[in-house]
Amino acid sequence: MSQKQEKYDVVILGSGIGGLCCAALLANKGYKTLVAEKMPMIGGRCSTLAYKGFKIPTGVVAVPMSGVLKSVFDEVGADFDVSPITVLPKYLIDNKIIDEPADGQPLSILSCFCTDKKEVSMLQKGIERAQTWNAPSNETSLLDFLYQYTKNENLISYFNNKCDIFFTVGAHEASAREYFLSHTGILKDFQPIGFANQGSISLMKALKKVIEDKGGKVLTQCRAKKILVKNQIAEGVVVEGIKGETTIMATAVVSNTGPKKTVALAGKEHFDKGYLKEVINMVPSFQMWVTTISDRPLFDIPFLFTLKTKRLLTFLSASLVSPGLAPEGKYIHYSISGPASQTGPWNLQNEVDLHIQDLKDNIPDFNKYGKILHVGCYWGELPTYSNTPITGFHNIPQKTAVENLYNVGDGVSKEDGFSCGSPGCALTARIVAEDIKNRFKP
Amino acid sequence: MGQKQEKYDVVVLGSGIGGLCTAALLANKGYKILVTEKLPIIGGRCATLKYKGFKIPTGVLGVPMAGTFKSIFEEVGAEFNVTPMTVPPKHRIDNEIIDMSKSNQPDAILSRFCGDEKEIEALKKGINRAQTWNFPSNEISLKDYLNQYTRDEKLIEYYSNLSDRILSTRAHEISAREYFQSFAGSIKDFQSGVGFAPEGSMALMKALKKVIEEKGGKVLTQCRAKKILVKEGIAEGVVIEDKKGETTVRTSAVVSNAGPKKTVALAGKEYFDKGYLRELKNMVPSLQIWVSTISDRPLFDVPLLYTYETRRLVSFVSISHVCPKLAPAGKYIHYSISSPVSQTAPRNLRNEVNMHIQDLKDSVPDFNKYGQVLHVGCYWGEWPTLANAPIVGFNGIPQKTPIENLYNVGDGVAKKGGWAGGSPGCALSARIVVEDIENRFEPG
Amino acid sequence: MLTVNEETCVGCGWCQTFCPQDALRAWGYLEIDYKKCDECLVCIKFCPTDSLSMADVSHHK
Repeated sequence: MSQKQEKYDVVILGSGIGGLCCAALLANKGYKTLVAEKMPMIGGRCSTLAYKGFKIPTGVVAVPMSGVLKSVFDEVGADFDVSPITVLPKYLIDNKIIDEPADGQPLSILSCFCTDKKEVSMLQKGIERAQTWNAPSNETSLLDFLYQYTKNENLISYFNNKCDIFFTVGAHEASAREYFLSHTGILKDFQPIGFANQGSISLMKALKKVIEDKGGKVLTQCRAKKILVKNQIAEGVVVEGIKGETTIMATAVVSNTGPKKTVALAGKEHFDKGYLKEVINMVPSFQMWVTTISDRPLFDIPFLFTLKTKRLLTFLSASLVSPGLAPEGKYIHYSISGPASQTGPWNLQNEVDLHIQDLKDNIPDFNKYGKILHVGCYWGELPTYSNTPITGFHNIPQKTAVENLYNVGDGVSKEDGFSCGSPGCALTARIVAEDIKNRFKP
Repeated sequence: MGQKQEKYDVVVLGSGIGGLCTAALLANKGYKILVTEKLPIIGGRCATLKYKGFKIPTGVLGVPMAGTFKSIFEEVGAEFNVTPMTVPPKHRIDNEIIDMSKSNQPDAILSRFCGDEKEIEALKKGINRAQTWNFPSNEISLKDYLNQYTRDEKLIEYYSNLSDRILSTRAHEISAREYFQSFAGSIKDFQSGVGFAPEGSMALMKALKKVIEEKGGKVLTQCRAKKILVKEGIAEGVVIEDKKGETTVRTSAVVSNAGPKKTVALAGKEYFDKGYLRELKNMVPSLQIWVSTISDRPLFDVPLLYTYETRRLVSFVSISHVCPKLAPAGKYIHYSISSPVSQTAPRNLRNEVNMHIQDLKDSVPDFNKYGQVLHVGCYWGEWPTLANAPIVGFNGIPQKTPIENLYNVGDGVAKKGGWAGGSPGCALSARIVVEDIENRFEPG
Repeated sequence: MLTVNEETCVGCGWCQTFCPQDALRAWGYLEIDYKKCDECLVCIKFCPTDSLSMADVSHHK
């Protein structure tokens, strides 16, 4: 069988944030880059589904207006069409709405949830200690860490909500170390945040355009069949497009498919058993996204955090910021929930029911005017995070046990701090692009 | 009870390498320092015992001639009286002594272990990959890592002995990640040459003590820490006890060289979160046995002999070749080191000692004729060789404890990404803590 | 009477080097030669693991 053969500097498998950021950074430096995406559309968990005239996110909604992600766009000259949110979020707790204080100070925010000043200041001191003295142990959950300072339900629920939104894991399961490391690290990018006006896929398309302008290729419906490894060094991939299989030789292979898939593509036999054990121990996380439409806004500000609910974490009235996400005169809302435990087991039908019950109980106008358009669950092989920072969490580095084979995306992390969300994925791309630049020239 | 009260900038508990390096660096920068040592002598595992006219090390023997440890002596102006070793080591395997002194190739020794150059090439590639591409996983042993490239048992034994000598853990138990990280980190200090303090390593500790005292600090022996005082999660002092009774010492920072477990006991378990306590519980202290042998004539012709494929013995140091003053005139002293086969398995200490001695009889021909065992020292448990052996799955415990302004130094705590063993590792932990203290507050 | 706590004694042999009577020998475990020991207490002071103590013999059989 005469297979076609091609040659690139770098082949990137998958077109999520990590893959496209890495490809754009390298293409911009003159590397001949190929991105292979098995789906007919790009973006992965930063994509946008068009459905009955509405736009539904596949994951990323809000992106930071500055920091690592934005810096990648600036560096490569990609269009960053994002509208900032200028209104402060609100919190719904015990049927009461609380406005986030304008000064944004942690102490004032906490004071909204608990009137006992001593309790609040004790907790605030503990949090400052974790941020400025030393991050707590990886063997302590965030809940156990907080319990050292307070047992106040409302204060705990505030942190539980924040933790679950950013880390997709409740305070009782999340590693206190990762929570605080990320807060002093990547999460500070999230001030302020914005929405991509045409859905997050427009950001991915902007990166794709750069890659193509610089001579790279982004192929959709092009599935990686195998990562070629010789003497424990990656030397190419076999991809299958519409026209059949092609062998592509490359100096480096970057996988945005998740570490487990990467191992399967290259063949388990090329990885040592320690690395395989680390990969097996990864816990992918589950989040559910419900899209609700209506003829009028269901809430008066874009961001509502719902505390002490059964499942619901946040209710985003996206149309208030980006009207382009719904047809004219229509409104779209996204709500997010996580399960009670990321280590399961869970009943998906039950999880959906609890989410919708929470919407009914907490968003008064939902019952009157809201209509559910779409329910999306992300877990298992298409998870919210490939590696959830639960207690005892271990980072998996970008570099694999196979030379010149890297992973990017939220399955891999920096040594100190979990790579969550869009800035985390962008950071993994930066780290890998940097290493490739140090190892060989275009 | 009218207790005495005193005030220092920093109180250091324990006078090992970590403690005295911390104290000397800080005293040199103007901090008012108190070092308390419960024993009548300073130095901990870097001290020297006198016995029947001979000198016996309590742990540290060879120190690097450059790098972190030495840089502290230079910075504070302490005397670093160390005689470099100029003769290369010899190796004993298969009843044969191998002399590599004529070879310039550092890896040439491998050819003496294995005749198949292809095996050696494959192994070197694997080692090179770990050093230049990516450190291996923490969940794989060095042996399993190397076995990916070679199954040659003698080649593996070469690395196992090396790992045991420096990290007191054999290849089948040591984390491959820690092995390679440590070599890239603090252990590379040894590559610039090794030297011996001519009258025992304690002289180095005394030189640091002298600096601390000259800069206005105090080093008290027979002064035992009774309690680390903690208020609202912040360390604010210690209660110490000496011959004259108890004293409460107020301070801005407490640095413990007593080992992380002892530190927790002194402050009170209730101040530490259970995650931290679990990390401490998982620490594995390591065992090494040091035997001192004396004779009227040298038992071996070069200072260092590495012994392979023995029951237990790892190395035999004919120290009198380099430091004649460790023995009375006309006499010779030798130190030999062994580790158990496993640092985690149960063991019988008497049996371990007997196998060490049997190995000496088998590996050092003149031992039988002229050698006499002077002293046997075991270090493990509460007085270990390493407070935290880098076994597979090893996690470094940071210098900072959950209590604000309470630090640990020494080989129980590690830099993130790199074990902190041996004299350079302990010195490094001191440097890290000193840097943090300097950033947090000024002297006075 | 000098007693050694075998739970905590590691056999470092420090005491052996400080004993003026040469009454102690470490060989993995510590051996005490009671015929030589004159209870001078020096060894207790030098024990890094606090494993040596004087036991009140009247409480023992």
